[in-house]
Amino acid sequence: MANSTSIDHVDIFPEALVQGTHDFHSVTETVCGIIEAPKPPKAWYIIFGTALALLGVLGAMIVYLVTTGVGVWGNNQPVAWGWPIVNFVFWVGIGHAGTLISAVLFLFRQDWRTGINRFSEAMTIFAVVCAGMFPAIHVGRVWFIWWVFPLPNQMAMWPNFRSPLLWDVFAVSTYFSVSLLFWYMGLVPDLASVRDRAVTKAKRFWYGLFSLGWTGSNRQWHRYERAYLLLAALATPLVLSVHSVVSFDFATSQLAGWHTTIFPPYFVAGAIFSGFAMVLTLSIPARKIFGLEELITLRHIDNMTKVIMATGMMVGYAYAMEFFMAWYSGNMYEGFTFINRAFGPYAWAYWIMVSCNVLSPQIFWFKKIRRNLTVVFIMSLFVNVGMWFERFVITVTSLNRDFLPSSWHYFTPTWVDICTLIGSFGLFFTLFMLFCRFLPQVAISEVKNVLPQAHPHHDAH
Amino acid sequence: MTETSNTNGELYGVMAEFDDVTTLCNAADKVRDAGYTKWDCHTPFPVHGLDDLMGIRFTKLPWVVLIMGLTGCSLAVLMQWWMNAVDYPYDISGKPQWSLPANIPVIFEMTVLFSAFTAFFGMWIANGLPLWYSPLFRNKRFARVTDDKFFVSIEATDSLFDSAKAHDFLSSLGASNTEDVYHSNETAALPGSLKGKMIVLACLATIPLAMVYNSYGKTTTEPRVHLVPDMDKQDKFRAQGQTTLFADGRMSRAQIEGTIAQGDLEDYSNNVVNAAFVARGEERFNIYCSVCHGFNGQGDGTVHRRATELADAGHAAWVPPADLTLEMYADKSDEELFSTITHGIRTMPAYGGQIPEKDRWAIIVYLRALQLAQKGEPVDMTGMTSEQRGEVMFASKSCSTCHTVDGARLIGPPLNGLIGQEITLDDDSTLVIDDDYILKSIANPMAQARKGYPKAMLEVALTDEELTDLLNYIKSQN
Repeated sequence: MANSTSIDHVDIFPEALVQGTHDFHSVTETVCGIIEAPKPPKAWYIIFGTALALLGVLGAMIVYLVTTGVGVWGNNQPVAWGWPIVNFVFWVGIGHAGTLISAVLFLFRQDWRTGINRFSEAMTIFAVVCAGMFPAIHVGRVWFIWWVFPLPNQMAMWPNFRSPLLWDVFAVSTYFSVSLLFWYMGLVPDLASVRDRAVTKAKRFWYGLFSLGWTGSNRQWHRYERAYLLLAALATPLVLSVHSVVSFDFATSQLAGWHTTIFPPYFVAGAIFSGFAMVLTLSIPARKIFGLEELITLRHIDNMTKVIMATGMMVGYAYAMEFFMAWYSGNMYEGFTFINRAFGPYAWAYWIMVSCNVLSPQIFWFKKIRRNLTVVFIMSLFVNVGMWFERFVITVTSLNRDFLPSSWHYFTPTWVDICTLIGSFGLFFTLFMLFCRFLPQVAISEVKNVLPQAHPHHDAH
Repeated sequence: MTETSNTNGELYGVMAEFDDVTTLCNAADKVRDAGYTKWDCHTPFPVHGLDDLMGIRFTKLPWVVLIMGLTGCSLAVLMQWWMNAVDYPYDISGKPQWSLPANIPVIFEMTVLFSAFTAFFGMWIANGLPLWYSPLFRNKRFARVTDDKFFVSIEATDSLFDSAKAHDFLSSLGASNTEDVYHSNETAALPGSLKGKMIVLACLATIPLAMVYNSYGKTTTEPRVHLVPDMDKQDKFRAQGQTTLFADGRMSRAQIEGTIAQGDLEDYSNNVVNAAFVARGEERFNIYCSVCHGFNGQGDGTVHRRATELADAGHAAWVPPADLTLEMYADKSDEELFSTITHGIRTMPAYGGQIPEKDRWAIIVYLRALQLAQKGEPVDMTGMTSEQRGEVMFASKSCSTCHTVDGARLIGPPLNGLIGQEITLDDDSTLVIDDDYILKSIANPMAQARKGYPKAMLEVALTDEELTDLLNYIKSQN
């Protein structure tokens, strides 16, 4: 082949993390330009408007729920854990990619994280906000939700620390706090960039306030980098713990279909799977709308699809292993539950889950497909749908046929259930669109750091 | 942030601008070698290797984080132990109140939480941030420090500082620009208008608190505000109520013909007092009654003890549960006790809904045993004959609850005139009572039970000497 040298080049050296001819200034310009533009792109208005309307729906649903009672949902015996817990696990799962990308990939020195970490950390925080809302409104009397925390109360009682639901309170709130700190800490130097370019008094004030007086001093950078590394090291086991603890909600109960030791790793793999899918769902349109193609490159997309394929196979393995254990255990209840899961009244949900989560990511074996943005975007939607159904299948199919056949019941959601789920997307996208408009979407200082000119060449010595 | 290069204040130091990383690194190396101590580099991103060139001592932050992480870990252990095993002991199926494995998730989360907060806030504190004022911000060029330029600043307070020398030195290191930086003359006070607004806001913020304080501990004749009416008034069917749901308009439904309610399969016609019935009563008593009345019926159950602690600490008022072994309760009729269990009394709730009828009777039988077991006076047995000791035993070991020695029948057969008596056993065989039969029947009461009496006698643990005494007493009543 005449052009063999260039092919070798591609094979040996990874593509540059920043495409085009960027220098430090143009990176600042690209990212800050989005915030400084007098008006956001039209697409932003459309998405933000829609999200805001859906947020209104969510607000109305919550008011209706609180003033009426949880009876407005489809939850009832034997399916007492209906959509609220499904939605909680769905959102908290999505919230896992952010910290995984920012912390775990940081520890593994995966430089490609720099383009997408800000993005996915923001996604994490907003997803955890959506997740945390569901258990809070699920308790019925929301004004007593503070009883989940070990605070002195008029009953002179303390929470039961041996309950997995309490572990959840600690795990999710710790995860939220640490993710928020991590995100904000990364934002400070970039907020300083916006501050130093601001032209209006209001922007100077607000960006100045939140950039804490950052001067880029190297003595400060030194401690900053050390603290960032520490946070990454702390967040890494935290990511693994949060979804493990969420899985304990199920696994520690004595219910066939839930009571399995495979749940913690299975849930963590599923969380990373769904989180990466959501990052793709968000970043593919965003990079186009805001002109970030050169910072969030095809290499980023390619890497993420590979992660999706790997974690997709892990959840596929977990699905298979659950069935194997149901048979191998010789436990008739376990066996019944899984046959009921795949061939019972919710077989449709089970097979949606399998086709979206196990079969569809297999097309990412082909590089052409990994780099076809339309296909990747559609596949990411499939995975989102599949992962919602996974939680639905785990929760509902295990409950709907319980030990007493006379109480078997086919669970159907009410319109309030459906509107609340849709409304939670409104909350998520409202927050996300505000983030896109007012905060730097890409970690400016980190991207500068992976440019070739960021490293001194020591030939001067 | 930046005005022009002001010269209206005290000199802060000299600032040099560099265009690329390599020049900056070389300059940093030289500035350090020149012996300056109060100087810094300012960069848009952390430049690798610059720490070493500047001679920055490694931060102690990781040690602080470690210490605070361990603090969080220990606090989590202490908190869970104190809350769940000491201050409010949870009794769940008799499991240990303090068992570490179930507490590990919270310990882990608290460790991470404390460490992360320390890493975050510790870093900002060590960096002296937030500090929204720096003289450097007053220089227009410095705005590019967060964009694409690199700066070295040497402060005027450095002992080696000399403005002219510093300019020349930095220029010789490849700085594209060097200039003096001055402090501001302006005062750091807040603008007056902002002050006024803040005072107004602070005053407004006290209003809700004042309202809460004003209504604290007060009573009102106004009806409650029903924010969530469904919680107070619910559409539901009550027993004996009316309904349009059924054709006959009655909410209570008659039992469907040909069906049996759960638990009704049991045959109540044979409600005899036997060992199993007493044991059932004991089990039910321990489940339902002992939490307040205590396992021995003396009214010192766990709820009572806990409530007394709270009452002593001024948290609650408490009506103590009755000591059921007192004479006044022993004198109450079975029917009255049954009514109390069924309907409750004073602060005791009704248990009729929770305890089936048969179990309520079993509890009463067991309660009678408890009352009997705690009746009695200490007896001095020194100098007694074997028969006299046997008589004391007969009363104190509860034999007299079921047996008499005057020929009257209680639950068990009378014990006078036993030796030589011919009796029929349960299996319709006959037997003449001798010493051996009496001893065997005390040791293993139901092995050769007499026909016509309930199989109610419990095993009584006696020493050989006590057995002999009891046997002698029974024989003396022949």
